[in-house]
Amino acid sequence: MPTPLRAGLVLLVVASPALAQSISLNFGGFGAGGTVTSLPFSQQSCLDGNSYIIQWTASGLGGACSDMQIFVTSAQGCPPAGPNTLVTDGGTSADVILETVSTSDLQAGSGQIASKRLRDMPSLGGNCPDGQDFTNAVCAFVMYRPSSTNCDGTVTSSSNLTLHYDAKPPVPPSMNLLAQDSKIVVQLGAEGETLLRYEIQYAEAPAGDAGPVWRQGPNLEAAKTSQSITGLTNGLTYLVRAQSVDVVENVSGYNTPLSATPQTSNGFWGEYKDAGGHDLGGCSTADAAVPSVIGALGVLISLLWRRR
Amino acid sequence: MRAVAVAVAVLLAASVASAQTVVQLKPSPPPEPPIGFIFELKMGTLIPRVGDEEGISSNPYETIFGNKSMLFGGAEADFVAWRGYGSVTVGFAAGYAEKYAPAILVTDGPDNGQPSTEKTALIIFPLRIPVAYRFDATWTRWGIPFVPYVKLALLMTPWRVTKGGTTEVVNGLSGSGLKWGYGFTAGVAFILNVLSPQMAKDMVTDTGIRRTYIFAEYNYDKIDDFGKIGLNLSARYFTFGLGFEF
Repeated sequence: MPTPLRAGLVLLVVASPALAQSISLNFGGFGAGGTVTSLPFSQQSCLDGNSYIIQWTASGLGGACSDMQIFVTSAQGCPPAGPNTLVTDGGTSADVILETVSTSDLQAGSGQIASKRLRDMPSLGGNCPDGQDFTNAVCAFVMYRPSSTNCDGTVTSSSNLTLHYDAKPPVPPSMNLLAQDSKIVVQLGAEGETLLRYEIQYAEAPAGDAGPVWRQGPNLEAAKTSQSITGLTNGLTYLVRAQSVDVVENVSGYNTPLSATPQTSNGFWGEYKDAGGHDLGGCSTADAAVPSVIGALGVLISLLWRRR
Repeated sequence: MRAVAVAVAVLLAASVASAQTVVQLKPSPPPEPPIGFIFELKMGTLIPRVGDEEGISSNPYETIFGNKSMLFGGAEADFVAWRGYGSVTVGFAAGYAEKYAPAILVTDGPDNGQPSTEKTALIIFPLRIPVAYRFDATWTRWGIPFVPYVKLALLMTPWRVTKGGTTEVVNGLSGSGLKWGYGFTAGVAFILNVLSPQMAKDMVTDTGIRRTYIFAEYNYDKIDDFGKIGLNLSARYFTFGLGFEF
């Protein structure tokens, strides 16, 4: 056999697994190309009956010998043997089958299932419980005929899609305050889960028994760690508190307030002015001296240039 | 007899051959081009003479930063405008220097004068237009790898004071501005070509760099708006660096 032909055959053999049967899923309408792999939702979203859709893509499934089942499972990842529709004694919930795609529809190569309610995931059982946090996987499964007789080949979706029911409030943030000139720098740190932002409130420390009158401060994106509250009065003590907000807008509740007192400080410029410095800042043209020097320099350069 | 004659002839031929001297003609170095360019990178440390301002009660630089210097780094590009017995260059230089320290608390209590959690900084951007005379005949004529030089420069120095990351403002006056001045520089360059002439030739061929040198120079900068009373950013300091002449 000629060497190029042999090499081509080897390539085909090596490449054949890559051309094998596969199914991929993505959340429709949440970013192109399956960029969104996790769909977190809140208790409110669950109660409102919000829904989602799944888009599927199949390849190499011309030999499919069963319908494709798209389902949600409480198992860790997609099981290799298809959905489990039985409730086990251990309390594992039965998988929820979202849709069955017939072998003839499978030949189209891609499709989309009808919208499904977010709450229809095994761990929820159709309810929206308080304070719970569940993550379930969305999977697809189909059988195919690897040879001309047996229908014993299985394909499980390769995508790692998850539904995340989050009704558990985050933990309030850790906090540190830095009192500065007319401002307080609030340093915040996440405790536990990934957050969306922090919300900050501040108030003048009350003199008597009256409670503090809280004012909304600037919010802080969770990716950042500090935020300044500006425009404060030096010498006055302020209380500051903050709460965490997670990606589905669950709030932690405010942490224990801390106090800080902004104080006047001098930087170099303040110290210079306090020492009697005369400079007023801004640009100075030094009367006519500068234009004169620049002009003289220009003449010098032109003379040198002409001499060449 | 014939054998003796042959032997004598061979000896004569050998002696003539051994008397021949192999002379390799070394090509003379290319003449210095009439014009050229110089590029320098330099760094040093400096302390602005803020306390020299007339009528000031204390030196705020010392109060905030102590006796610590600002770290300076810069670059200079020069055009060789004349070449004769030495060379004259005109150029442009830009640099950057900064110093950070905690601001100082101003309170009626025991914290007065203590460092704040806020940082303050003095940042300057020294710009200069230098005219230089380099006595490089030491190298081009005599092969001595040391080139002394002097520079006279017009200086422009934008400056800025920050506190807490923003420009500090005191009684409505913004802590930023531009100061003018002049400066003298004297220095000496050590021509690195002397260390590896072959590599130096290769650099001319490959990159166009005719000379590479390191230098040390003393700078006398008078940056006070030509004697006007105000923030005095004058400084006297050494810089060191690496230069390339094309």
